[in-house]
Amino acid sequence: MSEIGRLAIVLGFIVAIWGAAASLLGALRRDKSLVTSGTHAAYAFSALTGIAVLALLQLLLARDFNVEYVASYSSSTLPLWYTIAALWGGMKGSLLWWTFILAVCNAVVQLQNRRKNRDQMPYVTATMLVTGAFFLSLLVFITDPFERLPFTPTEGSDLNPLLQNYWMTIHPPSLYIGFVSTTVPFAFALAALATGKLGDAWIRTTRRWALFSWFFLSLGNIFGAAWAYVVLGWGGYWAWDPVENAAFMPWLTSSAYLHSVMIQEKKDMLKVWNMVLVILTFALTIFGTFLTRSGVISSVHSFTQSGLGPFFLIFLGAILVISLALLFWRLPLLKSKNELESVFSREATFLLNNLLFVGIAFTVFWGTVFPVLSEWVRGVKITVGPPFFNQVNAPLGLALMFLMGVGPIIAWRRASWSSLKRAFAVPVIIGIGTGVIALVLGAGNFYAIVAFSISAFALATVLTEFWKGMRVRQTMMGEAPWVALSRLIGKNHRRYGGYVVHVAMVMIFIGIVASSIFKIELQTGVEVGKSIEIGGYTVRFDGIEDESTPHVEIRKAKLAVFEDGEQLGYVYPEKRFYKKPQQPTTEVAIWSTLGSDLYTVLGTYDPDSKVGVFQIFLNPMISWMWIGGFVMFFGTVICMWPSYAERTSEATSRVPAGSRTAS
Amino acid sequence: MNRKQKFAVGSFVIVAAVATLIYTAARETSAYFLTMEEYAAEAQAHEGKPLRLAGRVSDGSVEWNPRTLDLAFQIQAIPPRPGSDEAAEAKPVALTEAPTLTVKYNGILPDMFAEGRDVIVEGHVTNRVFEANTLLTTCPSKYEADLEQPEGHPPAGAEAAAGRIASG
Repeated sequence: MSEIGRLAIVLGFIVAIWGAAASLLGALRRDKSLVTSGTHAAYAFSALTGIAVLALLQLLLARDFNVEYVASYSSSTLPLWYTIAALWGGMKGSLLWWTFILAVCNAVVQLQNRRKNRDQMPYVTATMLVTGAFFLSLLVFITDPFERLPFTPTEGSDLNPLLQNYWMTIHPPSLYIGFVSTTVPFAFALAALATGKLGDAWIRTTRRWALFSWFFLSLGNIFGAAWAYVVLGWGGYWAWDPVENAAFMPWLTSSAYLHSVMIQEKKDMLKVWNMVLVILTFALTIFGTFLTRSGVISSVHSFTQSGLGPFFLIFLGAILVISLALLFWRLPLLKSKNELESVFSREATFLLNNLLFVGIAFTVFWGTVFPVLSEWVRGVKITVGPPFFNQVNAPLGLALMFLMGVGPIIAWRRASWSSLKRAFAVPVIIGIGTGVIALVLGAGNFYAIVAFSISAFALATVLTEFWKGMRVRQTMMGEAPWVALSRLIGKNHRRYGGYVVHVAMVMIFIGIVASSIFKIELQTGVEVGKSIEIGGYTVRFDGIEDESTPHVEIRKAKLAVFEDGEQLGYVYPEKRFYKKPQQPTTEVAIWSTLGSDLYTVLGTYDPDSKVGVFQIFLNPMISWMWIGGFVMFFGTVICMWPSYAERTSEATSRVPAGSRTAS
Repeated sequence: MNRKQKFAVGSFVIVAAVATLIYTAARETSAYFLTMEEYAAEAQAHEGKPLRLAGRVSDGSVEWNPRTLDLAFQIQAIPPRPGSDEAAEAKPVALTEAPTLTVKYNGILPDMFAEGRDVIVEGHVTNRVFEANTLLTTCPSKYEADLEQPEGHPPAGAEAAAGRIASG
């Protein structure tokens, strides 16, 4: 099986190189048969990487510990689900998985564009196959996932226990899909630059892909935060670790693009800027992959050098040089006829929003690479920690939230003072009112009050939009409120789906603000039968239960949770001792409500004195982050839903194509 | 001033504001990140300054009081990995001569913390004792080592933690 896998990646590499070369040559020489050969190579590439993934999966399932990867990342007692997750649990497997997703995206793009964008497609195919060939070359020449050991270990060293978690099985695939699918808009952008067809076509073709990759980047980030929250046991969900930043940066530039592209569609402006954002987003995904695998940046990662770093840097450099050179060459064609008219206009708000998104992305980038830069420039490694990121991003985030409230209702082109007053009077009053209420209720923190106030303002403008649209339909069409609302969304799903995402962002923002500002934490030792008080909660330590399975030993603490003297239930924080990599892990237990999370961690337990040491956090409103995640999911699905017009145009465009072949 | 200039000035103001934010935050929150060798070379210069220090927990040095959650241990330089270029260049140093530093920390032990493990501590040195407010451990495995495990005190702000032990 390992030979089949090995053969598949070698052939896949050759096919990808051929396909890229054939597509480019075919496009330059206008040779249709070469272009067709490139398309076929794209399909073959997908099939071959698929075979390689299946081969690795089969080796994992067969528990063939003679294969180095299987021995390193699984064991005979690893549950089935995590054995499958081991496919992307190790570096080699994750690179193969990455290539496979790219190959699937490529095949889908080929199918979607069988009869469309025929001039651009060779360049799209070439870009995607070159990227695929790069990833496969790492596997073929440097780290072979199918490598066999000179001996067969009787047992594998198992998947890292930290990865044996529900979120960890869905976080990496989501993030990879998000990362990899940014290749599609990038490939179309390059094709547009190469062919000089710089109109709306490439933007329309990749609109849904851009949204799709943003969607999965968002999910990946949220799943990652959820994983950190329930697994790492330090009471938080985000530590501005380089690995987290790696996933956050492309999300930021991708968010910027989703907004600025609307300006291009409506006003034919910001064309160069949009190109830059697409290129930047793709480059950042490659940079992120580099970060997590090279061991160059993060301090803690310096122990994990894999030797892949230089290859990623060369590839990244090549991407930037080629795409920026193409962009520079086509600059004259990208001139916009329109320009901004007023600072008080929707265009200007979007421009500002883009500057902020990119500003935050730059901050994150700067903080992440700071140690390396300082070492180059001054010879000493200087790091910045979470306070740096928080200090810079808090005001930028607030400004962004404020714009989120302004953007949807300010007029295009030029807003007059009276129109501003009419549109913003109610939301501004609601915003200020919320700030006053927060102050009265005792939120004695400046940032918190401003944040709540701005959130209420942003929420109010979005809800006003829904309300106004619904009222209009109710009076014009005589529809019932719910019918009016659903038809309103259905008729303009991109706009209202976007608003739903905005509501989600307000929820997530409130969750972040409240949980980081009003968090309470304590660490203490407590005897069995005694209680700990935190916030309004009382936690009673009722004892320890030990369990043992062949895979893991579990020590479980029983904690009774009381609020105002009333017992709510029990939570069971655990310490686990995994047997194969002899390693203890912490399993937190959370009593979660909409108001706050009681987050309990078992430190140690001493059977002689019957004293358990606990770390307990009270994280206010953190649930709103996860709820916001769900709302974002629905909002984005609404955005991506094909509109009525698109569905019918697809249907009609198929008819002539079919009749042509028939005749 | 025409519209274009106005927008150029506006954009410049925003870019400058972001740059200022980055500059001041970096100045206020940055810390030297040193290995034990680098620290030992000029220990005096780093007294009292914010510091991130990477080292290996010395064998037999860990003292841990589970009641008070007080932890003390020694760290020493991380030897180069066998087979690496640095290992070939490094002069052999007797283990007893290797400089060590006492680290003090209060909190729950990170899962991966053990003697002989590589750790990163954040805090500052007072009278040759490193007072750590963060203790990061590195996983011994390969690729997963990038999943570092931040434990201990979260950044400032949460220090005003409330809570007490109630009897009964």
